Amino acid sequence: MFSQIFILSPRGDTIINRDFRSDLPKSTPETFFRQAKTYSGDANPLFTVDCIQFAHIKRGGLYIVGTSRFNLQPAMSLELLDRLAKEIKDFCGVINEEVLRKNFILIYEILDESFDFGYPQLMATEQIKPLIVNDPIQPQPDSVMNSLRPKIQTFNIFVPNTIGSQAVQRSVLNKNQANEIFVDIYEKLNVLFNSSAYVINQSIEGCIQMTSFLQGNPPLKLALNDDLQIGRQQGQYSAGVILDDCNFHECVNANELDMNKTLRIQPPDGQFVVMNYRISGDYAAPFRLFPIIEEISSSKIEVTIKLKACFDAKIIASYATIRIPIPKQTANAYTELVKNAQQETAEYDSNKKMVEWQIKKLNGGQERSLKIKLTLQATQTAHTARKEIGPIAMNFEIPMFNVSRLQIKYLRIEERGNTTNPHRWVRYITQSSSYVCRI
Amino acid sequence: MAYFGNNPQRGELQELYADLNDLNFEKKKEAVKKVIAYMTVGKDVSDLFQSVIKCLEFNDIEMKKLIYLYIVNYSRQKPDDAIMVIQNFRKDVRKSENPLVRALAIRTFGCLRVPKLNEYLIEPLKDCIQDDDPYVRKTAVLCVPKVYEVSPEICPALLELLQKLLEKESNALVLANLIQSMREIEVVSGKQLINLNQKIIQKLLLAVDECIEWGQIFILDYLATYNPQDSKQAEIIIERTLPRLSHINPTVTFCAVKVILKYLDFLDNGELVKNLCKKVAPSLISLLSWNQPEVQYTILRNISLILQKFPILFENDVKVFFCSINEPYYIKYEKLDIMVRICDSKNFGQVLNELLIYLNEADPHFVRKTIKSIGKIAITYDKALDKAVSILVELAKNIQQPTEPVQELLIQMQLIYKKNKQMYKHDESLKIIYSIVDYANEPESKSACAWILGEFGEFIPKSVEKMKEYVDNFQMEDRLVQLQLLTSAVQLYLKYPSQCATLIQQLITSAKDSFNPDVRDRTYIYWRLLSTDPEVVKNLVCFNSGTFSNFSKDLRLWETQDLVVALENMGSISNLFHKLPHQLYKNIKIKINNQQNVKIYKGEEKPDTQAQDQQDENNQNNKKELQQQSQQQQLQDVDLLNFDEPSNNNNNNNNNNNNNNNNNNNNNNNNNNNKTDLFELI
Repeated sequence: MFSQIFILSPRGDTIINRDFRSDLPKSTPETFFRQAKTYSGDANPLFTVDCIQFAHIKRGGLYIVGTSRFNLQPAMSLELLDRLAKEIKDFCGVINEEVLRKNFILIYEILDESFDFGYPQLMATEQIKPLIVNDPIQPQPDSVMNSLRPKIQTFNIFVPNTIGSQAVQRSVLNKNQANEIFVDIYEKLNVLFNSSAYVINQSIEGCIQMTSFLQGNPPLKLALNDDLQIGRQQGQYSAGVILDDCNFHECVNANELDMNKTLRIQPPDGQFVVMNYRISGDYAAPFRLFPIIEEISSSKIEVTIKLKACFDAKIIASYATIRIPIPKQTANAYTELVKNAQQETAEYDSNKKMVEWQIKKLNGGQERSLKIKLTLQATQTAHTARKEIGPIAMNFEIPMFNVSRLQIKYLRIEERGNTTNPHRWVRYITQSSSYVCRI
Repeated sequence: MAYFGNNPQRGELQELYADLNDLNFEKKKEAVKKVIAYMTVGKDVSDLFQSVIKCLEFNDIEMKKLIYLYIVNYSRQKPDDAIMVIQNFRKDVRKSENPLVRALAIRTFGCLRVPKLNEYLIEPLKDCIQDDDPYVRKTAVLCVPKVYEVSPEICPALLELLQKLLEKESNALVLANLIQSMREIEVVSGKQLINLNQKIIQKLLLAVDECIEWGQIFILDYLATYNPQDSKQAEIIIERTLPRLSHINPTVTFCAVKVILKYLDFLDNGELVKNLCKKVAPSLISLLSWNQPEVQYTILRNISLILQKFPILFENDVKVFFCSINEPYYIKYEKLDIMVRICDSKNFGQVLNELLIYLNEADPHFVRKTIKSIGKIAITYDKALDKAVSILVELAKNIQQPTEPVQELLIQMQLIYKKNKQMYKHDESLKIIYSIVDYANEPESKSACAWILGEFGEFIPKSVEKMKEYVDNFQMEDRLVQLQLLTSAVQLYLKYPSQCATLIQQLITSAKDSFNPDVRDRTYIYWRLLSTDPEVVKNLVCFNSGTFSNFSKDLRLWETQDLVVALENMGSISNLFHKLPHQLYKNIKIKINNQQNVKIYKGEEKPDTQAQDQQDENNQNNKKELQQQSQQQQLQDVDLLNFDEPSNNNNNNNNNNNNNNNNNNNNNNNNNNNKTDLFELI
């Protein structure tokens, strides 16, 4: 595993340097920095110089580097560095050069608990907290709030841009706050249509995420749909919700999931991903796109795109953006929205050769359309140019809606003798991951 | 003491010296902190050793941590002074009530790495291994390999203790560290330390459930190296590993996959194997959808390895590997590669339809890769041939510029023709492909054109004129093209002796004085042969019998015996480069396994692959017969086959590897902006 771990400033000065195995030359930080500077952009996360592996991540402008001369696992080594950065952040509040220089003793302590002989040991903030004796030294007063932020999992935490959550802005340290818990169900959609709006490929990547401010971290019981089924049999049809696969946070006991569709959770403080899931089966795509291309003359093309929102009228999608690449030989493009279009814009970007159509709000059941009139340069005919139109890519977010119909039936706090009933908030959010229509 | 350079000024050191010897505790602590700060930035503060270790007399854990940090760094420079610390360590280990202090002392002790100090370490280390507190035990267990590396001769007693501990340890974390440290000693010493029996396996499996994620990785990774005694045992281990497939940490999931795939070999129950494959596949696919592109890339690279042994895994899931529009290119390239590997008689239509769409993408390099993939499918799967060729020909019809994809198109068409010479003689496709030969501008594609001209000269209009054009520019061409032109011109000469007489004369005159010995030699051979007996040349150059059987081998990443080693190192960085560990690292020695048979897990009813295997076999037999008659032909075959691979590659272990390197190089050269290779080998 790792032979050394060091942290370098953006100028290449060593801030932290811990040698676990003494099997590599002392000059590795310089070797690393020289090599990292040869890249035009960011350096590759992993590279090899003279049989020495350098894995690194960049946080707050600093390089956090692990070296090894073993055949290490790339995914794991990057994950380890990332966890280390999270730990440092949990203790110090922020990661930047000043804070690290002030707290270097503390960071050596963290490093010694997290790694021994280069092997990862305890790497969760909560686990090592009792073993650390140094207190963080704060450069600015306001980061005290953040100083003992709970452990935040490395796994993709979704950040929605539609509904603001109070959960995100609050510190766990504040004792007077309400006793409550937030549960979010996020789904990211991948859909690929062909030109006649027929679905070629579709999948959902979803997760259940919790932000807990419960006092005393009581055990929870989370119940999901009764018709939930995990694992898909070939050619099987079922009316229920079928997850192709799912995985769970360490604090989740999923033994009862098959039997009565419940998860037992021992929640840590703050934000964590309870469960990730993946669905590949058919589902009703929330939007349908109908592109029509007409060759008006040999130098003129007209593209009409119809958009239909196929969900309940009570639900409102927001920030829908549709991007349509148009031929490189385009001389000019005019966009035409329907009359009286509200909260809707369409713009042609002549540098990127792209038309961007934005719709701020779209109720379910509604239809919108856009007409693009293209004039081509003389060098290309409409017949060959039309092939360069597309594929159309769409981005959107739909709050309080999920495609999979996975639902939280109830969330029970299993602590006896507690009279207060904490607030429980549930949100559903659907986002596009790759929503593409080929032409 | 130096006055200049990297060392602190004399004044600073003296000040620190004074502070360290101050009576005030806080002042001392501050001074030690300063010393550590100097140490971190690489300044030499070893002269303060004595003063620093004097501060150990305080029973303050924070102070201890600081001083230990200092000692670890300088013990090897000042071994004699370090001896003075030993008493302190021993006192801490024996007398301290606080497990933290005990563990801290033993951890630091292990890091000293001074041979003559190690003998003092043995007794305290023994105590710590038998400590009541698991935190101390876990630390002590990892100390043993540290000591073993420096002075192995004093360790036998410790190793025995470790083995005993393995029998009775119940704490999962200690067990995980124990396994890891014993494995490390096994690697260093070359002796087997861990004797697994049923009881220990049970315990390890139990520990996997209780352990923190990194411990799970250690244990699973170890289990993946073990060979179970029988089917029953394998079944139990697999069963206990299955829940790990749904762990949120991708490395844990991947290690579980590794264990399960390894143990499948030992199961007798075919039905069970199939069911397990169905469980493993979704987990691997999930790894692709939840993680950052970097992790996805490593998983994809490993999937192409797994596929060689387990084609059954993704039989019905080819859709998963379709590229989506917003992925980085390094992911797309891997997906293309995997799509070709998964392609079979059932899904080739689906795959080709998808590839057809990629041909419209904007990035020429990606299009080029797509064409290459279509070509590979056409060559490997006979059923897909017609459809693949029609796609390529359709593409050729619309070509108006000498772009990068055109070069690949010509190269692939040449390979397809080469394999199915008889089928395409009179085909319409030939004329369409011939109409774009003028767009060839790379050595490989030009020589492909020259090959087509020579082989199919009689079916192509104005072939002699075209050849004349090539011969006129002979001196400007690349060596690769020159060699092919020589052979092709001779072929054409044999077909049209009268029309080509001057042409061949001109060619020989300009080629016989070439600076390149290969070109010169080939010229002389043809020249002599032609001037003695053209009939002999005909036998030599225009051979129509026999197809090439070694095309399909191209898809195999590894030779059989290497595949075993590669699978053992699944997930590691060597696999990322599709190499074996010892090819990448000088310091790693591996046991070369001479196992020739690797069980391949195919799906059911694939008559067509079998048929092809049989065909391959027949071909090979044919070849053997032909071999004696036509040694020279064989030589030429090889030449023709290899000419799209660079000869400057040092790694001749297998051709496939070369091919891969070749691809990678191309990526880097052509696509600097896109950063095609995420992880770079320098």
